[in-house]
Amino acid sequence: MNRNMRGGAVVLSPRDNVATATRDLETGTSVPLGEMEKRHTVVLKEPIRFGHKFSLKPISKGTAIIKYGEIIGLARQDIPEGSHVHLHNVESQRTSHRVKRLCRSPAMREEVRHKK
Amino acid sequence: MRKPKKSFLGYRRETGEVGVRNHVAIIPSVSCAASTAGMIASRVKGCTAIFNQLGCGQVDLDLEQTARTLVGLGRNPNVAAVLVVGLGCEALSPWKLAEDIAQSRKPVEIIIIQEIGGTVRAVEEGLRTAGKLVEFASKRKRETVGAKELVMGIECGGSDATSGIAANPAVGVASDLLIEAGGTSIFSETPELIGAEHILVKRAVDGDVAKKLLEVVARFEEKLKSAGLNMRGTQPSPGNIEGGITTLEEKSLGCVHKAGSSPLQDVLEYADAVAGRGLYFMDTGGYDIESIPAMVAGGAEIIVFTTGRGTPTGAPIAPVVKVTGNSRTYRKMKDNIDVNAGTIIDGSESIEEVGLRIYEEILAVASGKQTKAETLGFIEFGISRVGPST
Repeated sequence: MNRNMRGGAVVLSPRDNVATATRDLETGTSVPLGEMEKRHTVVLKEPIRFGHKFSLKPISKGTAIIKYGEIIGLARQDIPEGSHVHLHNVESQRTSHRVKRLCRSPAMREEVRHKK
Repeated sequence: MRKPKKSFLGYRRETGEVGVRNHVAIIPSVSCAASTAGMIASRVKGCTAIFNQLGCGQVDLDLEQTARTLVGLGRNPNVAAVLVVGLGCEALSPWKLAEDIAQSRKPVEIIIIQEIGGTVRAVEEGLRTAGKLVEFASKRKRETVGAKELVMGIECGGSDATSGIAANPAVGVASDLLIEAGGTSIFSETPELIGAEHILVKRAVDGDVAKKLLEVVARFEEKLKSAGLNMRGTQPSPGNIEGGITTLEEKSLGCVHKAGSSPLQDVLEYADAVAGRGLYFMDTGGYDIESIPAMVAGGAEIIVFTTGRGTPTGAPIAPVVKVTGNSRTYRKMKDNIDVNAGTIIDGSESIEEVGLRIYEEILAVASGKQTKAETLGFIEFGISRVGPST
């Protein structure tokens, strides 16, 4: 886990496609992310406030937004690299009436059965 | 890194359990007796009133849950003695309440307003009785005990993006340290499991516990649905969104870090007494004011509360240690926040270092150090309802 938070943003898992700003960042800021050979820079397309997220790569409509290595929602539209990722372009999968189906997904049932 | 401490100074109670405070609790069995109870508590040093807003117009499971919470609070090892103040005609029997609390073998007294003849007489008798109970409590002494005696409740409220990155992971480390020392942690807030259940399911000690966990989440979602409610708009809350949290899943995934990495021993009902050691989940709502008392009723003697946005909330009976992962919030709300975990984001401390610092603060507070919420006298209190008033 990249816990170096001095660069202005943090990526919590290598699977993530978003980073969290650890200070207020201006449009055009180049944010260095990753370590050593995996190091790359994201240029911000808009200002990102402290605590808010931006995309590390282009994310197409309908695909998962990943933070902590887990799905936090789906992209409501195509999101270019370096964009603010928030309510305007992300949809929760759980705060609608689709909840029950997801909670009782086959994968989850398998996990419970596996425990016995 | 330095070795974590393994002991604190606590009050050994009649049951063998150890408390971290030495309160005389004045417990009204019904809201109608709450102001009278408050008058008694305000005049006798060492007393804490519990502002119970329920106790009548309730039936079945709803009434049982209120009773279970009040009994649990009375039995909590932070309480040396109890005075129950009843009205006399309420659904929640004050006599039964006193009897159930007395099973913990601590002194329990009772005053019934209708029997004694009004508030003035109840207060007169109450001051005399409360005074005697405080005298009894004051003779109890702290002794050195192992950290394994400690039951901690973990809460998060007023979350922002720093909660999941800094404060909750650091509290998770502290919880793991306590559990390694043989102690117990309870965490709660069912809506904030939504989207993160799979992580805890993997850590459940067996299939039954995993099933129970998924059941309480499904039950919660079902209840909302049957009431025609949709969490969109309240979860995440406006403050969460402002702080950078986009979806409930994201909030939950950040919340679940506060439970550290220990195995999940069991899932408890609201205000149910914790029966073993290790990590427990309690089924409560996400409203701090109602979930903290449930954990205290379940046996939590100290609460660790992470908050990114900052909140003043305290609790009756149990000290609340406030931790923020946001250094700006810490600077702005120093009056209310005990520990700054924002150093993780500033880059000057690691999660493990802050976790150890929080663990040490927990033992210091358990040994008698006052928290910000305690010095301000904050005793917010609420009990969740199961059904409508009747």
